[in-house]
Amino acid sequence: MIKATIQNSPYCTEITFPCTETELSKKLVEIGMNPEHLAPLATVIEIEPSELSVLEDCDVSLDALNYLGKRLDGLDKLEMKQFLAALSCDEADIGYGLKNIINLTDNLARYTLIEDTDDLERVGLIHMLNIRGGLSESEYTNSEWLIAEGMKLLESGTGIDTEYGKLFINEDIPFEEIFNGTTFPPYINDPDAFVMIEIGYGNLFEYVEMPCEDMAIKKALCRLGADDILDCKIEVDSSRDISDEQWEKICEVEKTKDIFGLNKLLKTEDVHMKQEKPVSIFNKEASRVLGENDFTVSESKDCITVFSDGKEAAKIFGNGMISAPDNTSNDAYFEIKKIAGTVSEYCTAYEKSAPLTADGLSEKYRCLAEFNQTVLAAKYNDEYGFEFVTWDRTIDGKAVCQGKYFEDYAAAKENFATLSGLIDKDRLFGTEELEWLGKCVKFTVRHNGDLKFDDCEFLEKLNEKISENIPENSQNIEPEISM
Amino acid sequence: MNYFENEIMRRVKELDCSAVYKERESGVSVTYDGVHIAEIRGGKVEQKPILSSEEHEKFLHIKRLCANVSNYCAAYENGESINIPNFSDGYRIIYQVGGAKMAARFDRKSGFEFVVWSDEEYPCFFASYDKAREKFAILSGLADREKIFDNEELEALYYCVYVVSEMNDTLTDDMTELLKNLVKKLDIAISKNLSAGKVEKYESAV
Repeated sequence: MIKATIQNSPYCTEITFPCTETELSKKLVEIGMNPEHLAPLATVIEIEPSELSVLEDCDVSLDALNYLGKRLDGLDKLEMKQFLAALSCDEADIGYGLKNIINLTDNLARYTLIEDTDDLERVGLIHMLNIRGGLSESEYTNSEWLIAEGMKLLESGTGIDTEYGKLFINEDIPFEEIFNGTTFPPYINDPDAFVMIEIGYGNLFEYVEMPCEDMAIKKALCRLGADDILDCKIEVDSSRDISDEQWEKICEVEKTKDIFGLNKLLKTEDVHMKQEKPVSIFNKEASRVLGENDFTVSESKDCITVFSDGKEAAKIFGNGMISAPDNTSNDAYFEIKKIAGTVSEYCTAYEKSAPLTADGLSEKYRCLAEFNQTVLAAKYNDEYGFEFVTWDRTIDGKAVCQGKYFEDYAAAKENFATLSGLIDKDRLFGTEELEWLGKCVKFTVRHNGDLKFDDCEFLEKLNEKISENIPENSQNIEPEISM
Repeated sequence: MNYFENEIMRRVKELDCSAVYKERESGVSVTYDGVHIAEIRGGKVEQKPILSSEEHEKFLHIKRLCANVSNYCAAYENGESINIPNFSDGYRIIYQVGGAKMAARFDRKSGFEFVVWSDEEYPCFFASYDKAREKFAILSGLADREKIFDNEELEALYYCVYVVSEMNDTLTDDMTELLKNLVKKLDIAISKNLSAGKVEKYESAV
């Protein structure tokens, strides 16, 4: 961000860049200028950051200053320091004037800034990333190479001390003139823009993001020196996934040159994005969980084929339907069906649920259920699958605390149900408790002769219910109670 | 009198207590067997000094009741009105998870009525909040119907564990301890239902 006091003698005003055309027009009025001036100039009286003070007492293009403001807003912290260090360093010799300052933002690779010279590996990493723009994974993890590059840089002895650290000028990388001083290079700035329009006139080009203020288009034409838009060549580009029908409509501007009409259309009509069918996480998660349960899976476009001991045991379709090969179902099939049912349940709940809002929560959880100040949330990761967590809301309800984490959805649900008070925990029994309850029921049926037939039948059914709730691998391990 | 006070006045009767609303103090005074045992003011329950063990036990029941009542009164106060065809007016949605919904309606005389339903199941009406939220937990898929034991089953289980502990003299100390804990847990689960005034068969079962 740039803060400046600008003057059109005798009027002065303060302005912050970047700003909209409307804001700029208002400021022009304040300093007694025509608000619709297509190339406004003003004298800079004061400016921040102070490294830009070379512009003080100079008449500068306010549109160029606005463009620089946008570019600076797009720099990350290190790039910003690099920019300011180069600007404050006489040896960097970027040449003064707003044109060169704007060009510096495109030439930062020429200047490596090292804030801490003690960590050679980091010095090497920063330097190589700066001059190459990116590193391969093997380079990134090659400490030896990074240390060597770091040492080479420091031992070159060309570092210049600046307020921001040691600045090295990479002489092999030339300072390129991207901004010619008249027409602005393309720069994507507006996140709400749908299209970027390239307007060509002679050898010059201007780029306008749309929808925008009409004034921005008028100024672009002015900088190109074009009297009439019909004399210009227009090309439309977009990184957004606009529906085919609307894209065709938008591209008509290349023929009609009705750029203001298109701008109006984009402002007033909803632009529909191509609706891509959301990729369900069910297939991925079902494959992962089945794999963990010793099944082999083969994914195709339409379904997941599940194999048990090398034989096909089931096919699971995207809608959760499951079928057995040749309608022959065995134990494996029923186990697969159970797994698919559970996975489908929590995947559906996850996909339908809203993000969990809680102060201080850094990771993205979705709230599956909330009851009585207790939250059941889930987080999904492509590699590791789901993590479930139960939390208490804090007294003010804004944050969450006392997290208990689960991989098993059923366990998370049970914890949530008891914690929130939906279910009385005294009415739920653990495996060991169930085993003993089962033994007691069996003992009573066998040894209490006073029981009526109906009572015996009821107890038998109760025992069946208990057995169903005991995991199979825990059953029949301990002997029954004997007299 | 707010919803909470009105509901407390009505529900302490289930605990064989009586209550008087003190307008000047904006609180409810609870007596048991003629003894003043608790003061409920601003949602807080205050115990009166020098209580017998029986009175203290009652006081603890009242405390639990207040927590329970405050829970659904708060949910009702914050709930949004809902108009569903074939439903009477005055219901407010108090909880919603997935397709399962729980709503409540308040009447000064009869207190709260709860209704639970889902996309797949017809509405079920309850006078008891505990029963309603249990049904809600099942309908929303948060609790497994098969894992929850109803009152009749809990009574039968209590009976069986009781029979084994009393009749079987071959039990080791560890087994006896385990069964003792089970009896205790079942006793708590059943007595909670007793306090809700529901279990009739329990006493005859043992």
